[in-house]
Amino acid sequence: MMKKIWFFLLVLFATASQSAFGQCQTDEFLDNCASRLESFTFIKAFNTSMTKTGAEEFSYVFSKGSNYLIIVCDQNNAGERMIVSLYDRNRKLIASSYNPKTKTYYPDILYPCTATGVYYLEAKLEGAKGGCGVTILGFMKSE
Amino acid sequence: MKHLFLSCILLSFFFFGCNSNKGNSEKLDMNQLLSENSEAQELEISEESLNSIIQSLPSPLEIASVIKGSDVPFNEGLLNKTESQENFTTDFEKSLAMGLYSGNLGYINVYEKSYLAIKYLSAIKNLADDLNIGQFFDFETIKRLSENSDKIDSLIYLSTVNFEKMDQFLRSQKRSNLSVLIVTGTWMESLYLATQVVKTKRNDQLIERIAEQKMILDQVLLIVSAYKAEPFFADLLASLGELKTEFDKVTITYNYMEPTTKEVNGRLVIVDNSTTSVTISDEQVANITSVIGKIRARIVSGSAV
Repeated sequence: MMKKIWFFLLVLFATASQSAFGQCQTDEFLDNCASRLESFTFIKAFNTSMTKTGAEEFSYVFSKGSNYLIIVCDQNNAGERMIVSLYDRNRKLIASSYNPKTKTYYPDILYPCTATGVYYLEAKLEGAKGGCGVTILGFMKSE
Repeated sequence: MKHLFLSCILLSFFFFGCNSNKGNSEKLDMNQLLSENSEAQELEISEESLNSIIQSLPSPLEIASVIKGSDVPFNEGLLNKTESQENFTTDFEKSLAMGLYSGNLGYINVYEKSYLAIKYLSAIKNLADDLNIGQFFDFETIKRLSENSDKIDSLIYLSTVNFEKMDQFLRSQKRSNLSVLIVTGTWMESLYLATQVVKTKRNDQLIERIAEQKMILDQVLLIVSAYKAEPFFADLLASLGELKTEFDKVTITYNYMEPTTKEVNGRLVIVDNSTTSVTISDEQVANITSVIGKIRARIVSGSAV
């Protein structure tokens, strides 16, 4: 009996863990998000998954003369959205996918880069229970 | 029952507690790390910072796009020959070579030469198999895509995703040293191709992109130096040091201006007024071309780094 309960608990926890954070780690999820790149070339995907509210940071060297598309891909659940912010080399905020004044969530950010250097992408999860999402980076050479 | 209750608590910690610190980790300050590296003889770099730098290095597709934009036709002769695979015997040499071929693949893909893509992907797959990371290549799909030139975007996407998976796997297996060599090789080959193209036809945008590699070199030096206790890395570091001597003569200035944003068709568009400007002489370009050419020749011959 004890063994059965143990097994049941194990399956329950594993399933709960998978359903909360596993969906964003699949190839299908990534492929769907990447399809929003349209004519931009895929560069990288940054995965974010957390068990509580918080933020993760990624860096990338952006080059002058390239247009970058930053796609915010989350599970689109109200109150559990992922917000991506872009910071420059001195950690000055350039833009965020959420505008608190208008309460607008932007699905993507277009950044025509004019200064080559290290930039920081911060992915923040709103919900108290965390969640998951993927930030996709694509580029296109400016004309 | 008490035992069961305790087990539940332990399980909860296991499943929900292990990631809880992820969002609170200390932020990487690239500027600080780079300045510490130039000042210190021995710099300890954390695994987390190392991984972050590896991820931050630009894709070879970016510099290849600038090369293509310079209107210089594709030149197969610039590529590292796939036959030279035999020259690479150790895991370190194979990782560095994988990087070179990846740099070539970026150039091939941007010029949409799918008939060559499969040849270079095969070379990469062989090296990846030797390093026990070949399982991340969906080679059948890649082969199918490369047979159809309309599918070049899908080929680029799949190849990039496969590389990402390999890199993540290596880092999760504490084999970041191989990841470092792959990204270093990729960057070196991109620089080599850019300098060779400029030699053929002068292009200011490409020269500027070459000059900007000064910033990337600093990061590459940082990650390579993390393993300098290994003789292979120490030799590579010495070679990159020759390149740094030339890049140190290049000046890059950054002028900060407040950015603004606007909404265009539901998309947030940034209007950045900050700029970077570079100063590089023809002599400096020629010297960088010469040094990267010599280093690359040593690597492909398998004689040394």
